[in-house]
Amino acid sequence: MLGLNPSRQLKQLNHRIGVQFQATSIQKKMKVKEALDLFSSFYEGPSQKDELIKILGLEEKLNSHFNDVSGGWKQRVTLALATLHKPELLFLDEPSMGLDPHARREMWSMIRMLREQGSTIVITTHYMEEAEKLCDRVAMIYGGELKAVDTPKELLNNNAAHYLGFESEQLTEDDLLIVNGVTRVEQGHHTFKVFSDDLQKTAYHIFSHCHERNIPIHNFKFEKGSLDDLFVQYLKKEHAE
Amino acid sequence: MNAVIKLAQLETKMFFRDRLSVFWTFLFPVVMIWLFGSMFGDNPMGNFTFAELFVPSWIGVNIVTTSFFTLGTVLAGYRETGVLRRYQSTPLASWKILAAHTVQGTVIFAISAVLLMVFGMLMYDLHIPEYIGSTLLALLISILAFFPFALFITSLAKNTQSAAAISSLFLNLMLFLSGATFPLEMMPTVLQYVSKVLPLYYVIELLRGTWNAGPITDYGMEVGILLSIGVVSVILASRFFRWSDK
Repeated sequence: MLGLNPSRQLKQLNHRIGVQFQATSIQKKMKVKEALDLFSSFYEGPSQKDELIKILGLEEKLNSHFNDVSGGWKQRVTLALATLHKPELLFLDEPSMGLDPHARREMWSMIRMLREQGSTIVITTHYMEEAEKLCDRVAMIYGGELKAVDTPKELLNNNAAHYLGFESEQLTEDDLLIVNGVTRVEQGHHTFKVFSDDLQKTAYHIFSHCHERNIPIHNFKFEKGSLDDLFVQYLKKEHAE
Repeated sequence: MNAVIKLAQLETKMFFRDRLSVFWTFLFPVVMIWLFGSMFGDNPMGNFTFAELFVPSWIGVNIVTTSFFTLGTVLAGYRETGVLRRYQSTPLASWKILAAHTVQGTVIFAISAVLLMVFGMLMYDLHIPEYIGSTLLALLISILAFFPFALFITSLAKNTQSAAAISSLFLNLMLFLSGATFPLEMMPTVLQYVSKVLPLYYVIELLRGTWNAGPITDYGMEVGILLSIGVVSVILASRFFRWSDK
C-alpha cells in the first residue's frame, strides 16, 4: 500500500492513511475540540484542523461531549479525526450508515469536498445509491469475491443488469420461468422484472406466449437496471451455480 | 512525547468529569478511615496509633483501586468500544497509550494519598512520614508493581463488565486479607499464609514501615518482591497488549 508493507511499515503508513471505522466511538466524555487537538498531536505534519471545522461545520459542537451529540455529528467528528493530517488514502467504512436522508446528503457533499482536496477515498457501503452518486469507480464484492470493477456508468451498461419490465394482471412467475431464455424473474404487485441472457429473443417469446393464451401485458420496457439490480443479479447467479 | 502529555492531561480531565469515579477514588477511602476511626480511633494498637496504621494502609489500598479501576477497567472499556482500535489506525504507539494512562493514574493516586494524609493529620493527629524520602520511594515502587500488574490482569477480560468483576474480586480479596483493614494476627494461620501471596501485603508492610519505623533499606525483601512483580507484569502487559477483541 503506497509502496509500503502494512505488516512491517505500519507506523509510516499510518502517517499517510486515514481510517473512519463504522463503530464510531471515542471517549464518551471527551469534548469535540479536545478530540481534534489530541488526534492532531499524533501526526508530525501540520494539522488541517481549522479547515475541517469549517468544512464539516463543527464550530457549534466544539464544546460538546462526544456522547452528547447525535449520530450524524459523531460521524462528522470521526470523519474529521480521520482526515486531520490530509491523508493520501482515506478509508471510510459505511460513512452514512444510520443517517437520515438529509444528514446523508450533507455527508456526501463533505466527502466530495475531501475528494477535491486530492485524497484517494475508499468507501465501503451497502447503499448502491451512495456508490453510484459518490464514486468514480465501484467494485462489487460478494462472498469475499470481487465480482466487478468499473465506473458506475460502465457497470450500468453491463448487460447483466438489464431486464424486461412490464405489467400484467394474469401472468404468474411460474408462467414466465418456463419461457425460453428466462434466467430469473422478480415479481412485484402485477409488475415483473425478467432477466435473460438475450433480452430481445426473450421479449419475442414472452409476447408469443401471451398472444397464444390471450394474456394482456402493458408498459413493456427494456430497462437498464440500477447498481442494486446488478448486485442482486450477481448474487442470484452465485446461488444458481 | 507531546501526544503522551496531551493524552494524560485529557484522561485526567475526563476522570474528573465522572462524578461516580471521583467519589469512589477520593471520598470512599476517607469515609472508611472515618468509620474505622470512630470505632477504634482512640485505642492505641500495639506500639502505634490507629492513624499511623490505617492511613498508610488505605493509601496502599488506593494504589489497588487506581490501578484496577482508573486504569485497568477503563482501558478494557476502551478496548471494547473501539477507542483503542481508532488509535491503532494512527501513528500513536501502544506504549505511549500505556505511559499516558500510567501518568494519569499516578496523578490521581497522588491526589487521593494527599487527601488521606491531610484527613489523618486533621482528625487523628497523624504525623508526616518519619522517613519521607523512603515513603515516596516505597510509593513509586508500589505503583511500578501494581499498575502494570492490573493492566495485565484486566487485559485478559473480554469486556468492561468482566474487567470490573475481576477488579472487584482482586480488590476485595486484598482489602480483607492483606492486613489493610483487619489485623492479620486476628486471622487463622492458613489465611495469614494466603495474605503473603497477595502483592498488597508487601505494599502495606512497606508503607507502614517507612511511615513509622525505619528507612526503606530495612525492607529489602518487600522491595525485591514488588520490583519483581513490576518487571514480570511490564513484560506480560506489553506482550499481551491487544488493540481490540477481534
